[in-house]
Amino acid sequence: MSSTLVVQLVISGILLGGIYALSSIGLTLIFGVMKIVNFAHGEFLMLAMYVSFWLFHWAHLDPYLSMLISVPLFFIIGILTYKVFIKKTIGAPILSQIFVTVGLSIIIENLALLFWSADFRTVSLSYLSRPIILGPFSGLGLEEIIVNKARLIAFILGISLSIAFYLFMRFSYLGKVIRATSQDRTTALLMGINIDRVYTISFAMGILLVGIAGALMIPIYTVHPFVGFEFVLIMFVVVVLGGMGSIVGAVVAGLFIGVVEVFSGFFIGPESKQAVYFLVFIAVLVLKPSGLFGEKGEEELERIEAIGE
Amino acid sequence: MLEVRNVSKWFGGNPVLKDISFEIHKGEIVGLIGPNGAGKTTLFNVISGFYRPKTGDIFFQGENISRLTPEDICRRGLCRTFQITKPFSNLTVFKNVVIGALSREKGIREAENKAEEILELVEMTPKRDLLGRSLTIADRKRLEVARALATSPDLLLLDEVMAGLNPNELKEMIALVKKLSQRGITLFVIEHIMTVIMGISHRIIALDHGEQICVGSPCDVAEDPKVLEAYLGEDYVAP
Amino acid sequence: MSSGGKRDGIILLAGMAVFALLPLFVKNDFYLDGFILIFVWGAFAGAWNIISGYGGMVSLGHNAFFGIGAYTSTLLFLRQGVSPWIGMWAGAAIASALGIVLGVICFRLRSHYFALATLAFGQVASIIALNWRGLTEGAEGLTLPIRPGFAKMIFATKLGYVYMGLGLLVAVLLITYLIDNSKLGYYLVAFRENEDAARALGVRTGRVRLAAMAISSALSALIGSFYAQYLLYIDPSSVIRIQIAVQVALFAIVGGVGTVFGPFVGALIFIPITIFLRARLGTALPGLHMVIYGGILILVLFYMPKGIYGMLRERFFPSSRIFK
Ligand SMILES: Nc1ncnc2c1ncn2[C@@H]1O[C@H](COP(=O)(O)OP(=O)(O)OP(=O)(O)O)[C@@H](O)[C@H]1O
Ligand SMILES: [Mg+2]
Repeated sequence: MSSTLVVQLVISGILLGGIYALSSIGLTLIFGVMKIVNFAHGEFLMLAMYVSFWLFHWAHLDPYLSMLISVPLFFIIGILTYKVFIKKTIGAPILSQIFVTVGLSIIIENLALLFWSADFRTVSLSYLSRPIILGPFSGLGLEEIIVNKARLIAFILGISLSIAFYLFMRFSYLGKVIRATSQDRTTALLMGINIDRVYTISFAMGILLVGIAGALMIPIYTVHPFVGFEFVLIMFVVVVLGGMGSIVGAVVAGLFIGVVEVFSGFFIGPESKQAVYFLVFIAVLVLKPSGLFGEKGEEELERIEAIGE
Repeated sequence: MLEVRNVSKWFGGNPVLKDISFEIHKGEIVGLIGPNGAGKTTLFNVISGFYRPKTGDIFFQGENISRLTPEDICRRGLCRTFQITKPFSNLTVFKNVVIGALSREKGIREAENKAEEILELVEMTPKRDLLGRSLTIADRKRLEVARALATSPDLLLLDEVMAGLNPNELKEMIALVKKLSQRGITLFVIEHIMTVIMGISHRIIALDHGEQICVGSPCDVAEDPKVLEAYLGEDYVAP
Repeated sequence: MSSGGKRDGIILLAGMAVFALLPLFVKNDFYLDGFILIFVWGAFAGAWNIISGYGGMVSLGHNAFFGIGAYTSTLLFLRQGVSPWIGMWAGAAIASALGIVLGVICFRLRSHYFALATLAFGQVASIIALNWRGLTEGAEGLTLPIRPGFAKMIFATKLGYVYMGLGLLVAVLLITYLIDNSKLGYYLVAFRENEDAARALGVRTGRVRLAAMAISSALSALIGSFYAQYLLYIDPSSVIRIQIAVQVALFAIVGGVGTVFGPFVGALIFIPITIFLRARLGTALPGLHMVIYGGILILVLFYMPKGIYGMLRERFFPSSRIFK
């Protein structure tokens, strides 16, 4: 195996991982704060891809610019989803917590099928069509390395946004409030934090992030009603591997899974690559269920109680 | 009946129990006191098998139980209650107690009979059809005791079953504890209310910051300077 | 037995008589299909209910067990000539062994984590079925020869399948009823409600979970085998894709989890809706029936957390020893 190939695969994997990282952060944020797994997260991603697609199709709006619309739109969608569906599941039995979002994912997926049919749709941007060619680096013994522009853009924006979001959570007042709530809800309540508001904003931000991810992904992937399910499975792997609730973990795990996927796709074949990261997933759940960066014991944490009106 | 030998327990880098050793004899009521965070509940968790001790051993009726699971320890006749009550929320009081009885009784029928008996004993028969989650604090504590009793324990560990009760409920609970002792159950009781614990215990063990600072009769313990210090601060005992 | 008990017994017998006799008068194959599907899905939802309803360990991977049953009996028949009557038990054995392994490796996992682990398990199973072409023929699927014969568990008429399906359903209901009235059932519920409390009371939660897992996965596989014999053609999308796991859970939840008859009631409600919509719409509005499924699921979770059967039982048979 030539070193050029290895470098090429690693670069492709990392670029792919940047996308996974960004789309998974919202999921991990929602779990970290309200201890709910949003099984509909992939469907929100799918919606976001469709939004960018239709804006491109009907208004010829560049997908990267369509983010300006997606961001507020998905923030509002997030708030509404929280108010109508998610809020009722806080403190509810585990079955309701899981299946309300499962139900939501079924509804969104099939509404998309109903309205937009199962057609595969793509956005191709002429300025992205030619790849960037790096090298050859004869000093390093490397031949040409090919980098896909759309993936590079998605990676750079995805990672920058992830870092920005991390800094926001770390240093802004709101970020601190959210972290405090996710660490110890009771104490946060005693300190006069409005838990319901924190949950609303966290959920909305989680959806907003996936809204951005959708815009970054539409120049790369085809969108169809079932695309969300494919991605949500990867997101689960990333989030669990990184440690549910950990933003840094999601980024690191996203990059890792990206590389794993590219390598296993290359060596084992594209059909079976899914099996590889699911095995990684099960291994993590068995060996270190708290993930790489998660708080230990999180996987055994008791459910939090309902929000009082 | 119970012998705790040099038990210690750490959480991460913090010692929570340091070299604890004591014995409890058949028929005794032994009190366990100590300020908040002293390690009392942790000691119960270690004895009942929920935590492994870092060092030391625990013998129950001659057998080393320090490596057994909680369920096996219970089946040997050592049962505990939880300070933060853990009722089966969606089941009735009766069914809660039946589940307690099942591990020792042959079948459902027998367990149901036993549960009836226990409910009568703890005076909860009128509440048998209420759901676990709808109970008041006092009833939750009582249900904890009832369920544990249903396992036919020889040694019962009670973790603050009197906390948060009003004077009337408190009186009933004290009477119940005495009744259990008369029935031959050995009791190991965590309690904060000094007058109560001093009144019912034959012997008292005091913990502070994970250290066993004193063991003795209620009078001795009440006068021990280390206990006073633990509860009231250094200044108080200084002169 | 009280007079209430007698009343409940009569209602139960009458209900059983309806399901046993009604198919005899239905001449239309289309409706007989409906009966078979109700029995298959009612039984399958009942199997799921044992681990996820009683035990509270939400499985999103039961498609794997169902599919293992379907593939095992079919492959044994096609490749080795083993009668499905025997092959179905081989499938059940494999499924319950895998169920136990899954239970052991997910031993420490709680709630959401268990659900995610089973989801991954189910997904791996379906990927294997799709890609291990040497064994499963992948997406092309496996076809059973249509010539009927009792030894091959291929019936000449739909009625044969109707009664075998009914038999499976009754078996699942009976097993669930027995569990509900046994220590295992009480222990499972105790585990679901509060594991620490259960352990403190001497419940060996580890064993209890594995037992429930073994029973639930074995039953799922048996039903999967039968379903394969009924379809006479299986491929990953008909017997092992992940949507099957979601659908079985959905039926059970809407009917009422942690009850004996709830999951069956769920199938009784959903299958006719599906058939009706399919008959009315054909392929005109794809996805509509799933939108309705999802909507009903969420409404039930919000407003009838005990499910439709659970609610009816509380209203009409609050302390019945039969309608559990
Ligand atoms: N699971 C745990 N992980 C880490 N630290 C713990 C854990 N459980 C208890 N502790 C710590 O161990 C110490 C002893 O706690 P414990 O609950 O045993 O005290 P206690 O004497 O029962 O107090 P209280 O009177 O408030 O019930 C405390 O400092 C507590 O914070
Ligand atoms: Mg305590």
